[in-house]
Amino acid sequence: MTAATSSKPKSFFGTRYKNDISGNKKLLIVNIVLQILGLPVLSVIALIGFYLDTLEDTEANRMLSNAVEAGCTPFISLAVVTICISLFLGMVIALFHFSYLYRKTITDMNYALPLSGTQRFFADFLSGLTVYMLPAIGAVILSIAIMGIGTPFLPPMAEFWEAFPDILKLVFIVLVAMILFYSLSVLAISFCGNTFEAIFSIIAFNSLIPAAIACLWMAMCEGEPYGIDEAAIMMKNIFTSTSPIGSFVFFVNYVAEVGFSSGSFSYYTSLYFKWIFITLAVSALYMLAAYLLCRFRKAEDVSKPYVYKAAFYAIMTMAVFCVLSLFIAMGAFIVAGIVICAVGWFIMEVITRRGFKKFWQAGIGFAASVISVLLVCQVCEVTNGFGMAKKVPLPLTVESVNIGTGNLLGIYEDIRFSDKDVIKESVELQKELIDRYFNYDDYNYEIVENTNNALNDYGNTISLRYSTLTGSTILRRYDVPSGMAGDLIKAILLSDEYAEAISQNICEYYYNDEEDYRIEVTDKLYNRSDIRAKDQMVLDLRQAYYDDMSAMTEEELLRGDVYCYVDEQWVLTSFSNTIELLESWGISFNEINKGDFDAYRIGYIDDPVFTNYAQDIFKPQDKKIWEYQYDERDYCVADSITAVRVQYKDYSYAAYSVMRDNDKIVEVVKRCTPMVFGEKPIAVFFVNDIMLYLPDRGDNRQLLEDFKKASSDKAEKVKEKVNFTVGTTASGEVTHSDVNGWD
Amino acid sequence: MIELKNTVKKFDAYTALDHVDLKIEKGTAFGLLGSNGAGKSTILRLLSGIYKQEEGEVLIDGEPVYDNVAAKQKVFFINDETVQFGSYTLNALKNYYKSYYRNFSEEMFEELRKRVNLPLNKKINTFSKGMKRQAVVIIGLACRTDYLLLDEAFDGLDPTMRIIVKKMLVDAMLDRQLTTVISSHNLREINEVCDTAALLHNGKIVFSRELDSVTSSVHKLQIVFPPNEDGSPVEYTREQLAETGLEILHFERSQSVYYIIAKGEADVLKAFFAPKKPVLFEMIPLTLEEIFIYELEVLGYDSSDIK
Repeated sequence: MTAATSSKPKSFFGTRYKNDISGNKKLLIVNIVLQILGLPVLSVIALIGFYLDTLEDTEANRMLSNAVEAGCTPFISLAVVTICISLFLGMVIALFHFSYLYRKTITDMNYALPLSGTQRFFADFLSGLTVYMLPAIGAVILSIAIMGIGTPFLPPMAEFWEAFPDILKLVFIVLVAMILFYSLSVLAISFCGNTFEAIFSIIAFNSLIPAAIACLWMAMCEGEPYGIDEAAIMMKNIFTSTSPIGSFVFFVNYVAEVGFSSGSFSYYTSLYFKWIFITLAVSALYMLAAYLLCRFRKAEDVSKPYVYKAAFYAIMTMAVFCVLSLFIAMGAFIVAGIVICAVGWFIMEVITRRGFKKFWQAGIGFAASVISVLLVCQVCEVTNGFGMAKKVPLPLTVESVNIGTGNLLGIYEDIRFSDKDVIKESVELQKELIDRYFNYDDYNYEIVENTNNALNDYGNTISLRYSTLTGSTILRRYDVPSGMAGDLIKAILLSDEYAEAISQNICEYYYNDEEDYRIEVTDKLYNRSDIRAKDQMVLDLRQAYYDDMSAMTEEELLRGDVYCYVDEQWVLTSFSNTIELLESWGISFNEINKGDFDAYRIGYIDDPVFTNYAQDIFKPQDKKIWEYQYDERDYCVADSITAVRVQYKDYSYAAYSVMRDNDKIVEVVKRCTPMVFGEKPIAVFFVNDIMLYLPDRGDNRQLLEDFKKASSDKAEKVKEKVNFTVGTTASGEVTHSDVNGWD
Repeated sequence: MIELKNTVKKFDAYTALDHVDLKIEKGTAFGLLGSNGAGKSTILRLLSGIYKQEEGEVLIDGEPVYDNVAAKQKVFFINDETVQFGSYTLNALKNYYKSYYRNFSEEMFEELRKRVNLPLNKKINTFSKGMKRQAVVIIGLACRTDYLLLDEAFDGLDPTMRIIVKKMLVDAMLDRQLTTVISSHNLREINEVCDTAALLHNGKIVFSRELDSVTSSVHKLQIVFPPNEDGSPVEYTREQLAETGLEILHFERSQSVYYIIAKGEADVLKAFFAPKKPVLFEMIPLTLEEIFIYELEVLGYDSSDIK
């Protein structure tokens, strides 16, 4: 007998890979069918929708559209269901490709083959991933092809291709989440030696990992640590990149951002590539962990419920942690939570032990788990969330910081800064806030009653989101006196990123095809004139403003005078490009004349005191500050804080002078500025609807004295309860105007 | 050559193999005998690289087997179950193993298949138990590995098929010096196929020898000694005989007749009792099954304890 032998050395990895795929071809076919019924069907329906858009708006066509839409609805439902099932298949495929880890009958067959453990694991892992992912990728390509075929015939499809990059990004999120799901499922199986436990572990790992992370975060936030935002967990990679549920949260938030916000300065979109990278890295870690577990587990362990018993206790402890932390968070009776956990725990112990063998161990395990969980919750509270409230990143480790300043900067959305000065100043600000909060006694605060010259400065919330070089995200939210944020705001205003953001923010609701958009231009005293935007005008204005902002020096920022406001953004006299463009449109402003004030409401507060609600900003441990009655709040004056902005002055009294006929008014207003950095203004002027500060520079004090002398006999002193909701931001934006008691 | 050197295999706290030393020469038909749980299947799984020993070495041609692709290429293991092949057709199963074993011979496969007349394209789970066993054996033989390990190989085969399968094995052994390691409780079959055997009990090797020497080294003796001068019968106890150097597996006395199962060559035993001038001395060779029972009885594995 002669043997038909092959001398060519074979790659058994490839052999295993091919055999695995062919051995699971039924599963592959099922997945292909499901995928074809998913995204490609939706694409066809979208094509039909685009076709219907091309039809004339007639009664017949409307009826046709309604009939087609009704006909498509079941297919849309079917497609969504099949997509969900095909996503869920990741678990089934993992179970099939690693069945020899929990099915005794096929263990010998698999382990006896001439394969190393490494070849076997990676061939199985990759073949499973292929069976799972290939149909999904194929479905995406097919769907794009379907849309591509329809494009030449359907003009409205341009809309789709405009959104295509965003759609593709969403598709990649789903694909990466699928890889994560599959890897985590394989990891879960690697711990088990039995079918029930394998399925249970996959479900448990996928659900309890995100739940436990969220609950731990909740426990850390239980003591309301200073500056910590409870919602921050939703954007932390430890939550979004470690489980498919976390990925789903990221996906939903990403869709919401892309779909419903302007998308330029948002959290999730800026996190996209980092998320992709980290999630793939986490998937690789899961795969590596599964590989090591498979390498170290023995063939004879198959049929044991858990090959690595620690996994079972980890699952159960996570479950106990979730239940108990919820009970603690809700302030519910904790014993009830422990009883619920005990029931679940002992049921699972009976199942995994297949009886009551050595059941005393189950009791010890449960007790240890409950004690450790309660201990963690307690430590979280005592240590203020493991000291995270005091955590400040090193500027060198910060890649970027997203800063949201509410309306302090005239942009409501966050702006991402990589600018080193901005990063440094934001870290410095955070350090100072934390120091003031925790080391309250080191600082002196003057507690003031509602004085006549007190201007309250509160409601400034700054959010800081650091993305560190290690890939972590640190999110903090603080109430900050605007004066304390002066250095940060100055750094922001001088950064190129702000120039880009604020110039794009000009006429933010303008669209290219819009012809009747009105650009609002006002002079320094807020005399308004509108320009109708045409063609390139908005884009030219944005470009000119960007050029001027990015070229602005610190000296110009600190000493510059406001020439005018464009779409509520100040234009300094040094902004040559913008001024030139405005002039080309026929808009120019003369110097302020005394006559300009005739019709205005003008007032001023002499020697203003900028105060904050103490308890909003500093640790309320000082009884003098803390014990206040509602409406009788104490205001504190921070010793080193100078306000740059006064937003509200409600329910407080101020003595101010209202006058028009003052020879010095022109000079005073010329020297006033809408923003002050790190210096205390000597007077605040209310001119029409805006608020201007007279800084303590040069002979301004003398000028102010002269002004006061000149106005003393003419001004009408007003001393009554006023309801100011006048506010200017550092950028000069007028937020609202509703003034009582003027004139 | 297969070697187990001081091998220990534990399943949690249970020691399945306790410092086992075993050598199986190339071309041997080796039988693994032993009580249930003696460690026979464990040895086969160690040899096929399924299990990893806790201590010692398991070598195939001088190379460790576990996780060693080259060594595992030389071994094909047929375990005592066939349920795992149920979803394959014979053809698919052949292709599956063909892809892993470089020396797989289509020609041999086809010839053996025709001999046992197995359908190629029917699912194996539609086969009878014996047919499933045949299917695996012919695939194992067609893989043309140097070592074929069979766990309860003849289980489920009808007498005719047993002969056919045995013949296949013998052909392969003669044809290409195939080393076969067979574990079985059927001692007659081991006796028929194997030339060497090892007896295991409680994870230890009781003996490992050529079968001929095994059967020729244990004898059943029926002896009647002449009475003493006063006419009383001669009294020998097991201990007395053992003290004089006789290795006794079983000792029984009925009236003046002694039934002794003793280890030793026939000549040696004859010479041992000759000075005692027995009136009757009959020596009956034992079957392998009897040796198995008596050897294990000495080790406390005794059916007489079962009430």
